[in-house]
Amino acid sequence: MILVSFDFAPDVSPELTPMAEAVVRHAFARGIHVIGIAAASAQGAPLAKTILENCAQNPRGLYPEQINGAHYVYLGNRPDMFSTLMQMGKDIHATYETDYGGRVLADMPFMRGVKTFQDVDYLVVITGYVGVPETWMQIANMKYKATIGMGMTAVSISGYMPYLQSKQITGLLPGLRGAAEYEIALGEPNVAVRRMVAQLFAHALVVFFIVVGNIEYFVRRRYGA
Amino acid sequence: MAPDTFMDLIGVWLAAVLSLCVFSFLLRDNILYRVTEAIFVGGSVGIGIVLEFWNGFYPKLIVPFQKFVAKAADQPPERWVWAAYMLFSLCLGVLFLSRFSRKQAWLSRFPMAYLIGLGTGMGIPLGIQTFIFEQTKATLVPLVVFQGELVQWSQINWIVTLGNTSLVVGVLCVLYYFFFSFKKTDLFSRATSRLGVAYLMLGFGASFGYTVMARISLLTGRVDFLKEDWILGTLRYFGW
Repeated sequence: MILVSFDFAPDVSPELTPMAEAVVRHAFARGIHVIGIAAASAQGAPLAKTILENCAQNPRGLYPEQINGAHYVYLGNRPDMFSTLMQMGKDIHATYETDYGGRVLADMPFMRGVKTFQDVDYLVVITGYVGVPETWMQIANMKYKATIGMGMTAVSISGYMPYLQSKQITGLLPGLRGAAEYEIALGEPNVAVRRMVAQLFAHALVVFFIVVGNIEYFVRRRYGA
Repeated sequence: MAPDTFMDLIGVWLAAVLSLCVFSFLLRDNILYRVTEAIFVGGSVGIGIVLEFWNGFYPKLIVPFQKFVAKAADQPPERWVWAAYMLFSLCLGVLFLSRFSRKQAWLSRFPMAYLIGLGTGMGIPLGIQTFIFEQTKATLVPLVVFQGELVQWSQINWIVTLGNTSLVVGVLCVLYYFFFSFKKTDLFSRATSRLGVAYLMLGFGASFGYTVMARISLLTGRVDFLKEDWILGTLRYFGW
């Protein structure tokens, strides 16, 4: 069983939704139960629900259609991420008595044995916000010794590489590239792989401008323009 | 999401028009861009408040309190303590609203002090462990790593050795670069600082490359939406 925290809102959705979908589809294809939450963003809670439902109801031939409450559950958001995670570390059922649709968690057979982070095999945090990974690492990893993997927007990824080296997180998906690599690893290239073509040309253009700028700099220095 | 219903279609058109208004900033700052920006900020705050109410305030305070009041006479003492604590929390939260009054604004310091105290108490020990102890531990790595039990030249794992060495050298050089207690005029200091700068530049370069990727990702996402959901979605909706 994995817990996926969709800690992003629509502003970074184009970058993180393909990644979130790849992670959820991978879990469904392996027959792994998924608990979804939106720990950091109230605005992202409806978006996360859409992603989970889309993956569950459109299996693309990879797995049977997944049923809410039997194969996955979406818990939504609770105010104040720090307190929410602290309480989840002690008792998930006390933090979220019901799922996003109002059904009692204790009534779901696969949720009965899940009390704390320790009962979840892996936590996946997908986020685009500074401060969110730190909170997860402090509480889930440091305090409650849970194993965490992260998927993040590319703009913030380099700041979190040291945590991968120190093994405070055990996996790190960098932005759209990470999503594309994940899709290829699953053998199901999709939207992230398609969008990497645009990335290729954009990066080539930036490299070209950097080279031209450097040439101009050295020419000006040489001939004193 | 391609439009299936008429309401979906209206939503997609609204999103597409607002997206184009945002892109109009590329020409110059204009009223359409500013209106869209205001709608975005106002909409985000509005949605946030509503969701916070229904996800937090309602299930965590109102519903339990309603249940408590319905059977107030039969409640054990510990439930009364719980109710008192909840009421105290509610009053503390309401004090935040005193910010709107110039005279009573000082009252908001109480919940603020409570929150800061709580956050500091919980956050500092965990922060020191997570960001200082663990990171320092991860930097204390052996400079030479051997593949097997034998300590021989042929047994050196060169890839890990080079990785560890460059990590330790990089950390020390960057720290030395930011050490301003004396003037760095001698050869050692200048060379070490230069190496530190090189490490920093590598880091900044990686950040810049990833930033380009992030921004292009957002752009392609929006262009994808305009093409797939707006133009092709509208055509599909009308059966063209």
